[in-house]
Amino acid sequence: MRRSNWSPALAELKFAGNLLIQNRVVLGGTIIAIGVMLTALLGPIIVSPTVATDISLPARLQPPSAAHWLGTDDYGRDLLQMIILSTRLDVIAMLEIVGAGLAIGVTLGAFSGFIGGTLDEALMRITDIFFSIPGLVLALAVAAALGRGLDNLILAIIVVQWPGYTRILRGQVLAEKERLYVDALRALGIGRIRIIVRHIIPNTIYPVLVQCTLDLGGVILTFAGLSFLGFGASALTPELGRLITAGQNYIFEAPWLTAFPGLTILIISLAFNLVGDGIRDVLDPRLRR
Amino acid sequence: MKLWEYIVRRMFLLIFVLVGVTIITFFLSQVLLDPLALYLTEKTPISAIPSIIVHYHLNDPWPIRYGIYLWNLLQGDWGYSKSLTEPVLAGLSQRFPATMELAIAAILWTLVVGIPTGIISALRNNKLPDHVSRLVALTGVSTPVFWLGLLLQLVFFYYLGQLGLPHLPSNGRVDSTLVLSYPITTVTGLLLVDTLITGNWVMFGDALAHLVLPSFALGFISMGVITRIMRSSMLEVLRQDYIILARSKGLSERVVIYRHALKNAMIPTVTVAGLAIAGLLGGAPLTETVFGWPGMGRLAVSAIGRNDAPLIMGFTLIAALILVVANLIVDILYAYLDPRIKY
Amino acid sequence: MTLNSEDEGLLQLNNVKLDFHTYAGEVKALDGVTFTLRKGEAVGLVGESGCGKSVTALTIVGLLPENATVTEGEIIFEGKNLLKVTHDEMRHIRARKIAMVFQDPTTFLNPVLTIGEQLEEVFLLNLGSNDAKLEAENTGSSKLSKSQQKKVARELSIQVLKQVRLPDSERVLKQYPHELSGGMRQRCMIAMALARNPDLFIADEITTALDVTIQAQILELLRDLKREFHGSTLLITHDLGVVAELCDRVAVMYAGNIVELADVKELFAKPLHPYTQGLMRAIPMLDKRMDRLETISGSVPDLIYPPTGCRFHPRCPFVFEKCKLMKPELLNAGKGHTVACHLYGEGKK
Repeated sequence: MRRSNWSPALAELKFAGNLLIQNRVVLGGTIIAIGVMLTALLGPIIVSPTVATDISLPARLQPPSAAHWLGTDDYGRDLLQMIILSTRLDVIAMLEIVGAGLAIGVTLGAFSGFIGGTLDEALMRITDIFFSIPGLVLALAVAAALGRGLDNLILAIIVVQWPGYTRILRGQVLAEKERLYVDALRALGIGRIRIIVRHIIPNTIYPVLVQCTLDLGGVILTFAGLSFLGFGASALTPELGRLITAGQNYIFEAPWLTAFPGLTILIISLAFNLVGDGIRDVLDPRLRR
Repeated sequence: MKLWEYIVRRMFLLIFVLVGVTIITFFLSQVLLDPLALYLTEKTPISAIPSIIVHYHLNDPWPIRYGIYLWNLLQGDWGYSKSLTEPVLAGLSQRFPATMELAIAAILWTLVVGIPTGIISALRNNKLPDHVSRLVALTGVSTPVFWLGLLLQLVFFYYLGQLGLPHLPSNGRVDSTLVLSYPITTVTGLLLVDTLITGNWVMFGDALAHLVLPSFALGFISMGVITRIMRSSMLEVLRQDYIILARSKGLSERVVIYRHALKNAMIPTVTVAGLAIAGLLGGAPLTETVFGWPGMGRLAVSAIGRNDAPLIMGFTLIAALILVVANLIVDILYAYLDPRIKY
Repeated sequence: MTLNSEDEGLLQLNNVKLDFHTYAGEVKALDGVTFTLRKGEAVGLVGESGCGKSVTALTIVGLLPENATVTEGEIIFEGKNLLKVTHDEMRHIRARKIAMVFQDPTTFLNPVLTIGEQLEEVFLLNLGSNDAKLEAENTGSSKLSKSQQKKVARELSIQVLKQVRLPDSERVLKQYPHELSGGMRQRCMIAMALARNPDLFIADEITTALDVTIQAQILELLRDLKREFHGSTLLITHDLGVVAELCDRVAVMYAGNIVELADVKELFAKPLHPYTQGLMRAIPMLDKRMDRLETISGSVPDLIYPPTGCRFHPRCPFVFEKCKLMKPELLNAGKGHTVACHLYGEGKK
C-alpha cells in the first residue's frame, strides 16, 4: 500500500478516519451523538406528541417496569417518552445557541480583526467585560431581565457564548491577514468585505469550529441548569431540566424521576464532548501553522 | 517592569472592566426592565407616580441615569431588595462568607484530587489508571452540577440513613438544633475557621459534615477540567527536549518529573484556573439551591421568583468582582511560575 | 568482517540495528552500526541529516523515544553491554561516565529553572554518592551535609562556567536560559557535561543551531578544552571542517550504516567510499539550508523501504550488480582505514 497513490484529500480523510477508529472512546461518543440527534429529530414521530398531556393518575409514580421502562412521573406519564420528547427541545436549543453565537462571533471577530484600529480595541474591551462575569451568572441576569420564556433563555445564553468565538476568530484573523495572498488580493482591487467573507473566514474558522463542538456539551448544561431554576420553557413543556425540577420533589420516593433525565443530560453532554475532543485531536496538528 | 507596577496596571484594567459590568447591569435592570416597578407597591396611589418619576430621575436621559446609578453603587447603595426588605448590599454581604466557604472547599477538592490524578494519568499514559481517570474526568465535565447534588443527597443522606449507616446531612450549613447547644461565635463568617479558633469541636465536625457534599458537587466539574489539563500539559512537557537533557544527566525519574517537568506543566494548568473559578461561581446558585446553602447564589435564585432585579444585579456585580480579583491572582501566580513572561 | 581490533576500545558498537515503529511503517534507522572508540581519542561521526548519527548517540546513552527498538547488536562500554544493563546502572553511567551535549540550547535547557539550578544538580547528584570522583578530588572522601554540598556545588559550578569561558559566572548562575544568548546557553550545556568529568563526551551537532560567528567561538572553546580534557569524544556533525579541526578519526555514516572509517588525515587525503568522495567534492559547509547535495545525484532513501543491498547504490556512480544484491561489510583497506563498499571487495589486509 503505497502512500503516494492516494490523493491528498483522500489521505487526510483516511488519516482522520483512522484516528477516529483507533480511539474507540471517541468513536463511541460519535455514535451516541448521532443517536441523540436522531432521537431529537424523530422524537415526535416515535413518541406520541401528546404524551405530555396524557395524564393518568392511577399510574403515577411507578418505578421502572416492563410497561414503563423508566417508570412514570407524578402525572402518570411514561418517563421514557417524556425524556425522548425533551431531548428534542434541549438539542434544538443547544444547536441554536451555539449556532447563533458562532455567527455573531465569527462576523464580529473577522471584521474587527481584519479592519483593526479603534473598532478592534473597543470590541476587545467589550469582550473583556463579558468575560469577567461568570457564564451562568450572566445568563441568569440576562434571562431575568428579559423575562420568562424559552426564546429569552436561548438569547441569554447566546449573550454568554459570542465573546469567546469572537476572540478566537479575531486571533486567527490577525495572523491570517499578514499572509501574502491577502496583499495580492488587495492589489487586485478586491474589496475588503469580499476578502473577509470569501477568504479569511474559511481559512480561520477551524479553531472556532473545534471550540463550538466542545461547547455543545457545556451549553446544554447551562441551559438545563437554568431551566431547572425556572427559566426557559413553561412548566408543562417537556424539557430535561424541568423534569428534574419536578422530580426533586419526589426524590426519595421516586428517584428515577431525577436520575434518568439527569443521566440523559450527562449522556448528551458527554457524547458531544467526546466528539469535540476527537475533532480537536484530528485537527490540532494542522492548527499549528 | 516590576511586579507591583504590573499589579497597579492590572488594577486599572480591573476598574475599567468592573465599570463595564455596571453598564451591563444598568442596561439590564433599568433599560430592559421597568425601573418604575422598583418603587411601586400595591399601596402606591397613582397620583404619586409622577413625583416618584421626578424624584428618582426616571425620565432623565440615560447617561444621567447611569451616572446616578454608578454613583450610588460606589457609595454602597446597591438598591433595595423588595424580597429581603433590606438593602441589597447588606443582604449579599451577609451571605458572602457562606458562598466563599463553599467555593474554597470546592477549590480544595479540585486541587487535591485533580492535580495528582492528572499527573498519575500522564505518567501511566494509555494504561488502565489513565483510561479510568480520563473517563471519570470527562464525565466530570459533562455532569449537570444540580443533578449531581441531588444524587449525592439521595445516596449519602437518604440511602445511608435508610440503612442505618452514618450519613451526611443534606441541607444547610449546620444542624439547626445542635447549633443552639453549641453556639458559634462569628469571627470570619467561615464556619470551619470560626469553630476551629474558638475550640468549638462539636460544631466544627457538624459544619464539616454539612460542607462535604455541596463542595464536592460544586467542585466536580472543575476536578474534571483540572485533571484533563494537568494530564495533557504533563504529557506535552514530558515530550520536551529539556527532559531528555535532564535524563541524560543521570537524574532519577522522580527528580526529572517533580523538579523538571511539574513546574512547566503547572503553567497551562494555572491559565485554566481562571475559567475553572468562573465555573465555580456559576455553579454556586445551582448548588446552593439544591443543598439549601444560605449563600449569595441561593439568594439570587430566590430573587428571580420575586422579580427582585436589584438583588440579581447585585449578585452579578459581586460575582464579577470575585472573578476579576481571582483572575488577577491567577495571573500573578502565572508570572511567578514562568520566568519567561515579561510584564 | 567486523573490525578486528586488538586494543580495548572504551566504546564498541557491534552491528547495532534499530527500528522506529511509526504510523507510516517501520523505519529501519540503524542497519548494523559498527565502530570503536579508544580511550582518549576524538572520533567524528559525519553524515547528512537523517543518516542516523543522532540516533546512534541516543542509543548509546539509552535515551531513545518509546517507539524505538534495538533489534540486534551490542554496545560495549567499559566492559558492559549498555543495551543490557539495568535502569539504575544506566543512570549511574549517565551521571558519571558518559555526558552528552545536544544540538539546540534553546529547547534543551529547562526554561523555568535557573542555570545555577540546572548546573548544581549535576554536582549534587555526584556529591551525594560515596565514590564520587569529584568529592575525592575536592573535599576528601568524608560525606558532607546538605548545606555543605550546596556550597560545594555552587563553587564547582562557578569554576566549570569559567572553564567554558563564560564571563561573570556568578551572575549567570542566577539567570534563566531565556536571558542568555544562544552561544552562552550552549556553553552552559557543555559545562553541564564537563561537570561530570566523563570518560566519554558526546557532542551531537552542538554548533548547528548557532550563528556562524558563535559557531567559531564554540569551536575554539572545544579546541581549548581538548587539551584539558582527557576522556574520549564522539563528535557528531555534518560539517567536515569541524571534523578536520578537532578529530583524530572519522566515521562516515549513510542511511544507518557506517560506510567508511579512517584517521582524519587519511580520510581527507584518500576517501575510498563513493559517498565520502561525493561529500568531499561538495561544498565543505554542508548547510542544512541546502536541500540536496549538488554533486551526489538522487536523494536520501526512504528508510521504511530502504534500497536492497548497499543502501547507497541508487546514487552511486560506480554501481554494479553486486551492489544491488549484497550489503557490503566493513573491510580493512590498510592503515586503520575501513570501508564498506564492493569496489574494494578484493581488498586485502
